[in-house]
Amino acid sequence: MTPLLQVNHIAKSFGGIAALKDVTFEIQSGECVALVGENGAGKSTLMKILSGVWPAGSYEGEVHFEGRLLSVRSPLEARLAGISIIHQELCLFPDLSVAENLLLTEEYPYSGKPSTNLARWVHWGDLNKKASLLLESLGFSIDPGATVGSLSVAQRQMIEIARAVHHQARLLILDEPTSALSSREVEQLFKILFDMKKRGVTLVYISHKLEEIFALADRIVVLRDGTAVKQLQVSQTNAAEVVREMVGRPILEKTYFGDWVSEGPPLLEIEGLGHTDRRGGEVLGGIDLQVWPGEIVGVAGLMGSGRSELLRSLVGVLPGQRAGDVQLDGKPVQWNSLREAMDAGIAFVPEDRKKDGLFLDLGVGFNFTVSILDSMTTLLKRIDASKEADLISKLKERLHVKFADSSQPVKSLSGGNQQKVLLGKMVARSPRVLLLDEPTRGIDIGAKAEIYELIAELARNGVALLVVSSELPELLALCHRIVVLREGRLVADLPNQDLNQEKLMVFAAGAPQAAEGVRV
Amino acid sequence: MSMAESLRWVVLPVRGLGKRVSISQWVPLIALLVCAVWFNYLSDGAFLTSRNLSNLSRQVCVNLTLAVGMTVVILTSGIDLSVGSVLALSAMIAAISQFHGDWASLGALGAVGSIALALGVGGACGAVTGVAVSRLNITPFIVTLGMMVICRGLTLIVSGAQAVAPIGDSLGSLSSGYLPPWPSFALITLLGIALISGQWWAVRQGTIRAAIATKRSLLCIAACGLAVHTFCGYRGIPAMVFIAAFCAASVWVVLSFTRFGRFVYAIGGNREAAELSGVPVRRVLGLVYCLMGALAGLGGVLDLARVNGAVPSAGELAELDAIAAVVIGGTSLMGGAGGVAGTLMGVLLMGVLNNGMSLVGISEHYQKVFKGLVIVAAVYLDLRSKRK
Repeated sequence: MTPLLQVNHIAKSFGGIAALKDVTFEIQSGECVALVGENGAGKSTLMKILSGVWPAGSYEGEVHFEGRLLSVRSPLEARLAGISIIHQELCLFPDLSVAENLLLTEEYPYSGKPSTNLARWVHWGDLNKKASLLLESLGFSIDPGATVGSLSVAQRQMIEIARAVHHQARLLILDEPTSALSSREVEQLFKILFDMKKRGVTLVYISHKLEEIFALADRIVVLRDGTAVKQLQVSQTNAAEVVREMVGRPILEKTYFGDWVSEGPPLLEIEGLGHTDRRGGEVLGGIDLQVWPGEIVGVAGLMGSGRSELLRSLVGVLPGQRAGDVQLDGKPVQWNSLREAMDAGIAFVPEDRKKDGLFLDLGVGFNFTVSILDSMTTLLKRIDASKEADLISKLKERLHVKFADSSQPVKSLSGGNQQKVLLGKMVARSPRVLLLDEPTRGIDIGAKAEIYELIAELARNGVALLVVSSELPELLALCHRIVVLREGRLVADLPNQDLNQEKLMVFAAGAPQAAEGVRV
Repeated sequence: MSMAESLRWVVLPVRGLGKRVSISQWVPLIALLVCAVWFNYLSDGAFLTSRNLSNLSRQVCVNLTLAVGMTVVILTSGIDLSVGSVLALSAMIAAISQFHGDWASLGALGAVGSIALALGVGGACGAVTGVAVSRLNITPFIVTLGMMVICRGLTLIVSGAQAVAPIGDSLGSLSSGYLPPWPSFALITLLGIALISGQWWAVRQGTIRAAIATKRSLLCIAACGLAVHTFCGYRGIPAMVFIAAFCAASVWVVLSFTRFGRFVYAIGGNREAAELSGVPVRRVLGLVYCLMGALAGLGGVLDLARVNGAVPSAGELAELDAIAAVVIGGTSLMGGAGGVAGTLMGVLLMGVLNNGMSLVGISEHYQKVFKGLVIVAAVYLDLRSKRK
C-alpha cells in the first residue's frame, strides 16, 4: 500500500542557516503521527512546506501525497489538495460569525451552484443552515450565528477543525493545539481527534506535551537539528526515550525547590482580594494569600479560573476595580499603576511574550534595559552607554541567553532565548516579589530546565515568587506550595508534599469531574 | 530585473561595510544623489551652484522642522494630520502680535515674544491632541483630523480671513539673516570634527563597530564638503537653517540617547509590552504630541519670516509633505523603527525634487504627479528590502 504522505530528503535553509537538513519519513493513511523536537529543530519549517507556505521549488527534496508529487504553491492549493493545518495562532475572523468563518472561503459560496459571476449574493439562510448541518455532523454544539470573537479558544479550534473537515482534508496537521486550552478542553479536543481518526483522517500532531502524545499518537517522529533522527512506535517506547532522542542527552527528573522554612512575617500579604471588571462582573473574590521571602508559590487552575487575572490585579494592570488589602512587608500598599508597583519592588512577567512582553523588532539590549533605564541615566536623562553595556553582558551571562550582539532583534532568537530575555528584563530590576505568568510556555525542555534553575536561584536569594502555570508537572517540580483557583476564588492552599496532578485537579475542576482520570 | 532588484545590486557592495545595515537606509541617499546629478545636467549646471543650493536649504527648513516632530509621532505608531493648521494658527497669532499688537516696534524683544507666543500656541494645540490621544484613547488619526479642521477655523476667525502683514524687521531677519561665510566655515569644520570624533569615541566604548564608524565618517566628510560649498560660496549659513538644524539635532539626541527616546521606540514597537514593562505610556504620548505642536509652532514662525506675513491658508498640505518625508526616510508607519537621520534624507529628497523640477521648468501640475509617484516608490522599495 502506498503511504499517504512520503517525505523524501527534504532540506531547506534560510540565508545560509539550515533549518532542515535531511528529513525522510512516511505516514500511512489513517495513522496519527506525533512530530516532536525542541524549538529550532525544524518542526514549523516542515509544516510550512507541507501546507504550502513555502512553495514547491523553494526547498530541496520531494514530498509525495497520495502517491503524487506534491507541488503546491500556496496554503490554498495545499488545502485543495487535501492538507489542512491548524496553527498555534488560529486563523479566524473574530468579527464574523461562525458560519461565515466556516464557509466564507468556499469555492462556490452561498448560491449552491457553480457561478462565474463575481457579484455573488450571500444567502444568509442557506449559509447558516449549511454551517449548522456541518457542526451537527461533527457533534459540536456551537451556534453558527455567534460571533467567533465571543467564543472560547477551544470552540475556535473546533471551528478550524470543522473547516478542515468541510474541505475534505485527508491530512490534518495540528500545531501545538493545546497550548491555550484548559485540561477539560483538552479532553474535549481529544474526543474530537479520536473521532477524526475513526473517520479515516490522518493526523500529524505537533506538541511539547508528551502525555498528550502518548495518549493520542500511534507513532512518533523525532526531529533534532533539522534531521528526522528517530521514529518510535508509541507502544514500544516511553517518555524518557523520546526526551532523550529530542535533546540528544538524558534529562533527569528532579525537583528544583530546595528546603525552605517560613521564617518571620510574610513579605506579601493578600487579604480579601477581589476584582470586578468594567461591567461589574466579578473576576476575583475573597482571595487570602501570604507569600514569604524565598518561597515559590504555584498558582494552578483551569483556563478562565482567574490565574492570570490574580497577577494582573496585583500589579494594577487589570481593567476594572480592585478591592481588599494588599500588604508588602507589613505596610499596606495602594498602587494603581504598574510603575508604582514596580517601584515598590514587585515585578510582573506576562504570559504572552510576543504580544505583551517583548519588543520583537528591537534589539536584545533594548529589551533587557527598557524597564530599568532610570537606574542608568545621567544628567538630563541621558543614558549611560557603558553602564548599559555592562548590565546587558551581565544578564547575558547570568541567564545564558545566546545572541550575537545586543542590537540583534529579539524576534531572531529562539523561543527559549526570547523567554529568557523576557525574564531578564524583570530580574534586572532585582525585585523582592516576582510574579510569573506561564514562564515556560512553548519553549523546549533544555531552556525550561534553565529557567527553573533561575527561578530556584532567585528564591534562594530571598525573592518571593508567585508562578502561574497550566502545566501541573511544572508546578509540582518547582513550587514549595501550590494554591488552586476556581472561578475567581482560592479553593485550596496546599504544601507541595505528597501532591500529585490528580489531587490538584480535584480542586481545580471541582470534585465530580476529577474522579475520572484527567489527562493533563 | 525589476527596478528594486537592480537597485539592490547597485548598493550591494556597500553592504559589506556594516553587516546589519539594511538597504532601505541607502535608498533615499542614492535617490538624492541621482536626482541632484540629473537635475544639474538638465539645468546646465545651475542646480549645483552655491546660490541655488543655499536657496534650497532655506526652502526645506519648514518641512524639516515639521518632519522631525512627525518622526517622533510616527515612531509611536501615531500620526499628526493637524500640523499644517497648527502652523497656520501659530503663524497668524505671531503675526497679529507683531502687526496689531505692535510688538514689531519692540525690536528683538518683540520678536522673541512673538516666537514664544507661536511656540506656546503650537504647544497648547499639541497638548490638547496629546490629552485626547493618551487619556481619552481616541485614535490619533481622528483626533488630529479634528484638530486640523479646528485650527484652520480658528486661524480664519482670529484673522478675519485676511492676510496679516508686514512683520517687524527683527523677526524678518530669521529669513534674511546669515552667519557670514568665514564663521560659517569654522562652524561647519568644528561640527564635522566633533561628529567624527564622536563616532570613534563610540568605537572605543565598544558600542559600534569600526566599519560603521568609517562609513559614517566618510559620509560626514562628504556632507561637510557639500555644506561648505553651499553656504560659504553664498552669503553663509541662513538663520533659518540654523534653527531647523538645531531642532533636528536635538530630536536626534533625544531619540538616540535618552530614556524618553527609548520609551518612544518601545511604545511604537509593542504598546502592550511597553505598558507591562513600566513605560509611562500616557505621559510619553502626551509629551510627543505636545512636542509636535511646539515644532509646528516653530514651523509657523519660520514660514511667517519667509513670507513676511501670515495668510490664513498657510501650511495647507504641509502635514502630507512632512509625513511623506518621514516615510521616504524609512520610518515605519507601524512605529518602532526609523529615526531622524532617515527623515533628513527624506526632507532633502523632497526639497531637491521641488527645487530641481522648478529649475528645469517642469510645470507645477506635473510636479505633483511625480512627487506622488516618488512617495509610493520609496515605500515600496522600503517594504521590499525589509521582506528579505
